[in-house]
Amino acid sequence: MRPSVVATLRDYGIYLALGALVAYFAIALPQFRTPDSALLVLLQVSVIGIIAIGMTFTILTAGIDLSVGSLLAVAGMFSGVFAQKDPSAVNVALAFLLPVAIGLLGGALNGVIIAWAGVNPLIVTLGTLTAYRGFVVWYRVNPIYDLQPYYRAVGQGTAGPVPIPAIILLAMAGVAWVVLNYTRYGRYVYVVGGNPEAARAAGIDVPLMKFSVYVLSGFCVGVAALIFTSRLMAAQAISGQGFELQAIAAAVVGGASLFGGRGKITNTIVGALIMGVLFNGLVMLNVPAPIQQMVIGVIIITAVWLDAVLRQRGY
Amino acid sequence: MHKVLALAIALMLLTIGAVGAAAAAQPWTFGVSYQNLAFPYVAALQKAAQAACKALAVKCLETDAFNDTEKELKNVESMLAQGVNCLAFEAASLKASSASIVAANKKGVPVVQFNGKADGGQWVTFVGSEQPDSGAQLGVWLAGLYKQLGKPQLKGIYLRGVAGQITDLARNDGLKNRLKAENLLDKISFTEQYADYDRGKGQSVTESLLTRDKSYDFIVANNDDMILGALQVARQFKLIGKVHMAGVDGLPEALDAIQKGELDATVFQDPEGQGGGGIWGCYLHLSGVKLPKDILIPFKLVTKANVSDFVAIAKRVYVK
Repeated sequence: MRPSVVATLRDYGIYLALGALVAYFAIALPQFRTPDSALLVLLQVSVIGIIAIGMTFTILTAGIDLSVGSLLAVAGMFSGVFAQKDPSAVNVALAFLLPVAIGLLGGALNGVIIAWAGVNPLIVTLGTLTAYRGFVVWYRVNPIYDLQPYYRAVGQGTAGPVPIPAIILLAMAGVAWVVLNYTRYGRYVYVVGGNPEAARAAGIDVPLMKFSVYVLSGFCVGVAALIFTSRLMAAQAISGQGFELQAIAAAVVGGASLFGGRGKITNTIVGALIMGVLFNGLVMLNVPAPIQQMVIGVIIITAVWLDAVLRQRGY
Repeated sequence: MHKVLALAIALMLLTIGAVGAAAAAQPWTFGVSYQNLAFPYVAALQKAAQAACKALAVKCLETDAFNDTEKELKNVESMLAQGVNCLAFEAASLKASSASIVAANKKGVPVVQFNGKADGGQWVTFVGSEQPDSGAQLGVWLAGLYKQLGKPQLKGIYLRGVAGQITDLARNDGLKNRLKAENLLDKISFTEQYADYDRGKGQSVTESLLTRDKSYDFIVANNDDMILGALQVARQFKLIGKVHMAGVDGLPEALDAIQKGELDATVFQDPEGQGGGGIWGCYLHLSGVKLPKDILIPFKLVTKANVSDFVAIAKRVYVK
């Protein structure tokens, strides 16, 4: 193959993969061809997709955020506390805004330790993964339910046929795409991850940049927590377990390099969609869960391996 | 005569005083090991165990295994080193948790298992429920539904827990065996998917299955969390009353949903009996009472007809 063809494959191979999967399920399952099914996939990937947007920023700086699932449980819990109370203006505002504020705060805490105490992001967020979970279980182990009906609007509402969570996902992905591609901040994110020495030499405040991506990740988690809690109409201390791996998988399947400096928001979203299409299609086909897990595992490894092979050849 | 009576009373008081003093000078300390306190059911067990410790005036040391048998063993070794008189033990695993029981055996500390049971080492008694029985109760409910709906064939969704996990297998066996006994195995068909006992996963799996086909007669789940996730979908798809639903646990939320008529049934498992029973088992054993090898607390099928009997217990043990 000519190098340009291979390069194109590397950049757009993931779109082909998604297209192939959709085509396969559409042939195998008449119900998969319906618009309802497509919208369902968007709805089901919304929470992980939004978390994966923040995750992509941290991965681009050669970092990682393992605390997202635990932080989601904390943010969701406090959202639930106020969503259960009588719908006064203050309670409604807190139910919607508090999870985002908690996400920002949790992300900022990660960011401060990583950026200025200089501790490895893997260690810091592994620590906060445990600590945030411990906190929320200590705060309240039993679910909060009987949430006020208005609270459904975010997670279960639709605009026409389109679920609100899908709209939020696409809007946030759009903003993140613009930021990464068309702003100085976005260029700095890539430079900090790809070549920190050059970043320092160019006068970029590297610690501040690192801090900022964890705050962004926390913000995404806060929004995801609101959607997740509203979708379930219940807040649980055990929510979000394992979400970090799903979000990382979406970014990595989308071609993001865990060594930093390389990755795209569009590809991360496609990575999340691949996981969502697989889940939805395999469940609809009633494939047993252990086989679903194997298929997803094989796809993650294949995607990363293929990417590595193409890169080694210098494309 | 009066003198004799006075002497007898004085002796009695002395004896009582002496016994009281002895009990105060040598109070029992029990070690309690839980499987994972992040689960509401286990937290409810803990609440019941703590209440029993208080009622019996024994000191209880508590540890959480976080579902990790290595951590469990370290916890137990540490409690043994602190000189506990008895170990109330909720096993995290059927096989691997035996190590903790063996460690207690070596120190000569008696073990009472509750809720989760490991099958190695020596223990005094097991206070808990036979998990296949919870599945059997789901089977009883399904058999009733079959008669009630009067269709020749029923088809439903069965949300399973974690693949290969012991409780999940036991509940599945209990359900299928019950249907077999009722001659209904070929009349009731299941679409089975694992949803890891998780509410969000229960919701997603149900969404996908119902998007493909809305004509299911019922959804059953191996715990209440999954059925409560499925219930959100049934509400959204406006299938309440058309798709009949039942879970296992008897969480307050499930009981509320039964009272509202959204959920048809759940199978109540009694954390008060199990958690308190672990402590009582230790107490009675040390007091010299001979206990049977198994003290079984039956599962109970909860429907709208009897739900009010269970609300009070659930509200008492599932707080915060």
